[in-house]
Amino acid sequence: MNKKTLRDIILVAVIVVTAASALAVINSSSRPGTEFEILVGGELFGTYRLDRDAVITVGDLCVAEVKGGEVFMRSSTCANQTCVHHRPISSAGDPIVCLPNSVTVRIKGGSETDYVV
Amino acid sequence: MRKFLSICLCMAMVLPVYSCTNPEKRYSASYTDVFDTVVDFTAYCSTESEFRTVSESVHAELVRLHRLFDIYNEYPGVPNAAYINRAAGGTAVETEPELTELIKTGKSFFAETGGRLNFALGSLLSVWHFYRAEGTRVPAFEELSESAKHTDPDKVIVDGNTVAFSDPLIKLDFGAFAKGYAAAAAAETAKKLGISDFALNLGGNVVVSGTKNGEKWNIGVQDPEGGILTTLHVSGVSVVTSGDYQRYYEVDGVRYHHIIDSETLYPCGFYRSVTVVCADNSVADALSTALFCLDIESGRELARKYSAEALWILPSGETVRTGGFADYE
Repeated sequence: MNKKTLRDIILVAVIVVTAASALAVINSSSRPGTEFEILVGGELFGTYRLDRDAVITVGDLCVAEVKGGEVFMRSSTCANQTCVHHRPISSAGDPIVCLPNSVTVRIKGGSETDYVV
Repeated sequence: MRKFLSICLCMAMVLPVYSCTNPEKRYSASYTDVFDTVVDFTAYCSTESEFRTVSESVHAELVRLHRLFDIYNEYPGVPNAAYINRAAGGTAVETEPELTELIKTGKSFFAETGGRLNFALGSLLSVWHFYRAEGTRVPAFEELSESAKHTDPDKVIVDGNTVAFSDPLIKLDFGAFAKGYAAAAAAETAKKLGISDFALNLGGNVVVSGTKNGEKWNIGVQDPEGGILTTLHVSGVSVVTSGDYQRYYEVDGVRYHHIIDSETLYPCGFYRSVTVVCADNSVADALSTALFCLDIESGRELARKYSAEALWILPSGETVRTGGFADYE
């Protein structure tokens, strides 16, 4: 194999890798929510996966539960229980909020949908 | 060949960089201290400090209106809805012009919706609020009908900046359109500060202005069974959904949600959700509630009156749209 052909092969390989990584970035930014985060007082408490059933205790404020790809508030110490009565969520940009305890659970998502109503 | 490939490679590397060098960047802020929901504000600004200035002003306007329209808490020096509910039964009380304006808007919505949207429903809604918070029982019809005797909006008398109740047991509740009014007012605040490309979301009450770097905003409509049913591509409008899944409780496997029919005194049962798109957020907010409690034909007529488009999701999962709704999809 002469030097010229080898360089061509390297160049083509670089183009393919660049294109593939660009595609991966585009794909990952438009995928529906697979992770969610919990914020307390506006600060990040933690980031969790939606595809793994789990029970998350948020200090002495509330307990969130992940089940079947959805997250919901299982219990809360707040007086109004609005967060506990909120439906389970799974869509990007769709939050459950507990105002008395200042806890927000929200699905992380791609850039495709700005907000959900 | 190599030259050609090299040029391609250079372009491939430069293009993404070029597309990110727009002078306006996207910034976001969230607040959880107003209107019993989470507020998200996203805007395209030249600098982060410019965005901070705007988002703080938007937030301050929302805090001001939250306090003014709050029916649960009173605040020192704020003659708000809770204060009126407590005091206006005895004597005329003075309040802010915005609150009397909201009452007048409420009276107009009451007339236009044939009574489906009633801002004086507070005594009935407070019964449901109590039982929902308790979460284990359904109120008896007698208790509901007793409270519903005190829901006549004509008995809320506005004179200048004063409000009086000729029925002392009447209670204001702006839940059906206060968030919409506040969202519209906060959007005006952003515009006055020179921001044209932004989106404001008050827990499902969305106002969008301008574009995001030339592209329309994408607003997903929640599928009541989970996920997103459809995505709207919008600019310069408001989008609001009222749904039976937003706030509810269950007793013996029956779901009781928060949108109460002023005629049956129980939660409206026609639809899973109604989404409304129109120019003004307080109208979109009010219409989504009113349409939720009306049959489709009456709803279509009402939407037409306000130049609004609507999407109904039925309990069967079937969807119904007004003529122009699909233009946004």
